[in-house]
Amino acid sequence: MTEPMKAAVFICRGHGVDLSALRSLLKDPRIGHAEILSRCCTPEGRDQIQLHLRGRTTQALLVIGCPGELLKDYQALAVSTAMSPARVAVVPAAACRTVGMTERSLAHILDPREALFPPARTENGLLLIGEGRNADAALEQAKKEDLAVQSLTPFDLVEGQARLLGGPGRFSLEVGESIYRFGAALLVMDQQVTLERERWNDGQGTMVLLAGGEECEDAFLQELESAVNTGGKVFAAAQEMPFTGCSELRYAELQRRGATFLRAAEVTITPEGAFVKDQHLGEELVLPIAELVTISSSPPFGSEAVLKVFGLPPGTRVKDMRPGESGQPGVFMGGSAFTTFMGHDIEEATLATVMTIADALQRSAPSYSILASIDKEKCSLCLTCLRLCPYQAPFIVEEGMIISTERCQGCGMCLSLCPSQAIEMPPADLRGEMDGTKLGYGGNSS
Amino acid sequence: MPKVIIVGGGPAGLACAKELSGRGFSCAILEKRDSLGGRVDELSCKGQRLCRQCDVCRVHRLRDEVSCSELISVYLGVELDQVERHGSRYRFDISRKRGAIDTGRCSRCGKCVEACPTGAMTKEGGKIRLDRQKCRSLQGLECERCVSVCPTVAIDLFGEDHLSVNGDAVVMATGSLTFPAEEDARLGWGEVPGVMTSMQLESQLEARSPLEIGERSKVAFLLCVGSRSCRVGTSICSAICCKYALRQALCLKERYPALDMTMFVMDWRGMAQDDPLLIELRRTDIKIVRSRPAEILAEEGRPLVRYASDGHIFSEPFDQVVLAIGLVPDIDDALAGHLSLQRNAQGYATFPDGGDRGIFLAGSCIEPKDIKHCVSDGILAARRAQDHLEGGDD
Ligand SMILES: Cc1cc2nc3c(=O)[nH]c(=O)nc-3n(C[C@H](O)[C@H](O)[C@H](O)COP(=O)(O)OP(=O)(O)OC[C@H]3O[C@@H](n4cnc5c(N)ncnc54)[C@H](O)[C@@H]3O)c2cc1C
Ligand code: SF4
Ligand code: SF4
Repeated sequence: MTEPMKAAVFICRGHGVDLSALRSLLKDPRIGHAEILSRCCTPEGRDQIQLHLRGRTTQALLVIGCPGELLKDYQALAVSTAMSPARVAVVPAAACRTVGMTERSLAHILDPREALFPPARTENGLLLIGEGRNADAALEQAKKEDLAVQSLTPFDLVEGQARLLGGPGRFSLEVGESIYRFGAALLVMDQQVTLERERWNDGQGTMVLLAGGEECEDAFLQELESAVNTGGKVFAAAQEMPFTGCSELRYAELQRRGATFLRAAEVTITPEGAFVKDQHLGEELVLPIAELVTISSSPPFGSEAVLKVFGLPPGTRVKDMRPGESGQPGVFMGGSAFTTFMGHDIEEATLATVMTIADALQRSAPSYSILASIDKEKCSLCLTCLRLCPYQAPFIVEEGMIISTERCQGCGMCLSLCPSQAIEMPPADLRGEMDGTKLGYGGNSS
Repeated sequence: MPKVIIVGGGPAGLACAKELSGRGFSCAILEKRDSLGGRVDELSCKGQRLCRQCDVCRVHRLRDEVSCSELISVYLGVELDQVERHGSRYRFDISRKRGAIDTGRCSRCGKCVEACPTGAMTKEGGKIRLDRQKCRSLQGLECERCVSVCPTVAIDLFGEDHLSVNGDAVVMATGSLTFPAEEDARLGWGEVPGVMTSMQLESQLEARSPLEIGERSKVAFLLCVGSRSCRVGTSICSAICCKYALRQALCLKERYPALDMTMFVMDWRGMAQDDPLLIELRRTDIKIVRSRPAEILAEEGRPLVRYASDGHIFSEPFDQVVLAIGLVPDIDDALAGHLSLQRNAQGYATFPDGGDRGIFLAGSCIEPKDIKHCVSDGILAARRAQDHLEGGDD
C-alpha cells in the first residue's frame, strides 16, 4: 500500500486571517508541512512555497488567507514543481472563520479519486469541427455570440489520431502534438451530393434518378428543370420523394411541364432504353431515353471518424430533445450529415444550436457539469434508472440508454441504485466553486 | 427596458420567450386560448417503453419554465383589437374575458346554480363557478337566467377587460390550424362510422377520451389528408404528418400487438431511410400500401376503403380509419392587416419587404413545421429580436 498523501499548508497573514480558528486544523495528521508567512502573495512568499514543494515531501498545496483569484498563480507554481494543479486549493481569509471550508478543501485536494472526476467546468469555449456552408455559418454565429471558438476540420482529426478526454465544461482533445481545451463541441458536416451522368447515344430523352435524401433536393430539381428546358422526354425516378413543404410545388410544376414521375429505386440500362419497374403501377416499362443522371449523396469525408472520437455510434443524428443535442453531454451536431428533416431550415437550425450552446456555456449554473452519464459498455439495459429517475432524465434510444442533459438534476438516485454501476457523476463535493472557495481546477495547466 | 411582444403561445412562442428571458429581456405572450402550449396542449406522448422523440413533453417543460419566469408576462384568452406603431414602438390593444362572477359582490347564495338550465353554474367548495363551454348565453343562445335571479348583481357574462401592452419588437408565432376533415367529403369523416382524425386519436391516446380502437381490430391510417392535394386546395406537403402518424401507429401497435394495421402512404417524408421510426416500423407487421385511397364508404356500419395499388382497384373493409390530417395556414385578414403581413400563395405569412420593422416570424405560421423546428425557429426569432433591439440602441 502506498503512503497516504499529505498536504502542505501555507497561511498568509497579509489579508487578516484569524489564526485561532485554524489551530485545530493544523494538528490534522493529513498535513505534512505548515508554515505561516507574513505575505505569500509576494515574490518572496512564492519562492518560499516553491522551495518547499521542490522537496516533494507533500503531494498537495493548501493556501489559506489569499484571495481566491490567486488560485491560478498557485496552480502554475505547483505545475512548475510537477504537482498536479488539481491538488491545489486556496481558501480566502473570509471563508476560514469556520473550519468547514478548509476541511472540505483539504479533503478535496487529497481525494484519491480526483483523477477520475476532475472538478467541474473550467472551459467555456467551443470547439467547432466541420466543413461546408453550415459549418461556416455556425462559426460566424459563434463569433457573434462572443464564444471563444476554435475550429478544426474533420481532416485534422483523422490525420492527427485525435483522442478526447474529460466531459462537458472540461473537454480536452489531443490532436497530434496539440491539445485543445473547450467546454462544448459542435460537429457540423454536410452530406456530399454527387451527380453521375451516363449518356449512351445522342438521341433525346433524359431520366433523373434520385438515390439520396432531402439534401439532394436542389440538385435533383435543377437537373429536371434543365432537362425539361432542353426538350425531349423527361422522366424522374425515385423510391421516395422526400422533399417537404413547398418543394411539392416545384415538382408539381415540373410535372405540369411534361416530366413524368415514376416510383422506382433502380433503373437498368438496356440497348432499347431504361428498364424500370414502377411499384405503384406494378408495370415494367422500357423508356426510350438517351441519358441517365443519377443523384446520390454520401456521408462526408471523416464523419464516422469524427463521431467515433466523440464517442458517438456511426450514423448518429440529432436527438430531438433540444437543438443539436447528440445524446452525449456537451457534444452538439448540425448540418445535413447529422440532421434529418430540417427541410429548408438546416442552416437556421444550426444557428439555433450555436445559440443553445452559448446559453449552456455562458449562462447556466454549474449544474451543467454535475450530470450523470452512462457508460454504455457497462449498462445492461435493465431500465432501473428509467424507472427510478424522479426527473425522467434517462431515455432509451436505438443505441442504448442516454441521460438527457436537459432534465438531469444530478440527484444521484440512479448512481446509487444502478446494479451494473454504469452511471458516473462527479461527486457533489467536487463542484467547481463552493461558498467562495475555489477548489483546484483540473484543466488549467498549460 | 425594451420588451418583446410574442403573439401566440405555441412551441415557437414559448421557445422564443424562454430564450429572450434567458438573455435578460422581458417579454409578453399574448395567447388567444385559455392555456399555453398551442396545439401541443391537445397532443399525447407517443412513447411507451421507448421514447419516440415526439417532443410533446419538451413543450410541457417549456411551458413550465415560461410560467416560472419573472421576465415573461402571459396574457391568456386575449383578443387583438388594434395594433399601433409609434416610431419603433408597438402598442397592442387587447381585450380579455373577465371572470363572469364578481367574487366581491357574490354572496354565494346559489340562486344562479338553481336557475341555470344546463348545469353550467356550479357551486364547488363554497365558490360559484361557470363552465363557459356549457353556458347557453355564451353560445349565443337566449338565456341569462342567472343574471336575472342574482340578488347582488354579481354576474356579468360578457364582461371584458381592455388593456394595452407596449413593446419594442414583435414575434409572430400564431401557428397553424389542422385541416378540417369534413372538407374532403370523399373520406367520409363525420358520416361514415369509424372514421376519425388523428387529432381525435391524439386525445384518445392521452386518455382524454375513451380509445375507440379495440384490441384486435383492423385499423387503417390514411396519410396526406388535406396535404399534397390540389383537389382540396392544399397543395403543399404538411411535413409533420408522416412522422406523427407513424408514431401514433407504433404506439398503438405496442399497446395492442394483435392489431391488424395498414398505412396508406405516398412517400415517407421528414425521415432518413435509417430513421429510428422506420427501423421500428420494419420490425412490426404493419402493412404499408403505397397508395392514396380514393374514397371511404360505409358498409355494414364499417368504413370501406377504396384504393388503387399495383394496377388494381381494391375495396377493403376496416374497423377504424384514422385520417392523418395536415396543417393549413391560420392568418386572418385582421391579423395580417394589423402587422402589415402578406400571405404567400399557400396562405402562410411572409413580409412585404425585408426591411427591419422589428417584426419577426416563428413557427408554423411560416410553413408547416414540427415541434423541433418551431422551437429552433423561436430561438432564432429571439436572437433576431435581440439584434434589432440592441441595434436600435446605438
Ligand atoms: C394530430 C397531430 C399530431 C402531431 N404530433 C406531433 C408530434 O408528435 N411531434 C411534433 O413535433 N409535432 C407534432 N404535430 C405538429 C405540432 O402540433 C406543430 O408543429 C406545432 O404545434 C406548431 O407550433 P406553433 O408554435 O407554430 O403553433 P401552434 O401550436 O399552432 O400555436 C400557435 C398559438 O398561437 C395562438 N394564436 C393564433 N392566432 C392568435 C392571435 N391572433 N392572437 C393570439 N394568439 C393566437 C393559438 O391559439 C395557439 O395557441 C402534430 C400535429 C397534429 C395535427
Ligand atoms: S414520446 Fe414524446 S412525449 Fe413521450 S417522452 Fe418521448 S418526446 Fe416526450
Ligand atoms: S408529411 Fe407525409 S403525410 Fe404529411 S403531407 Fe407530407 S407526405 Fe403527406
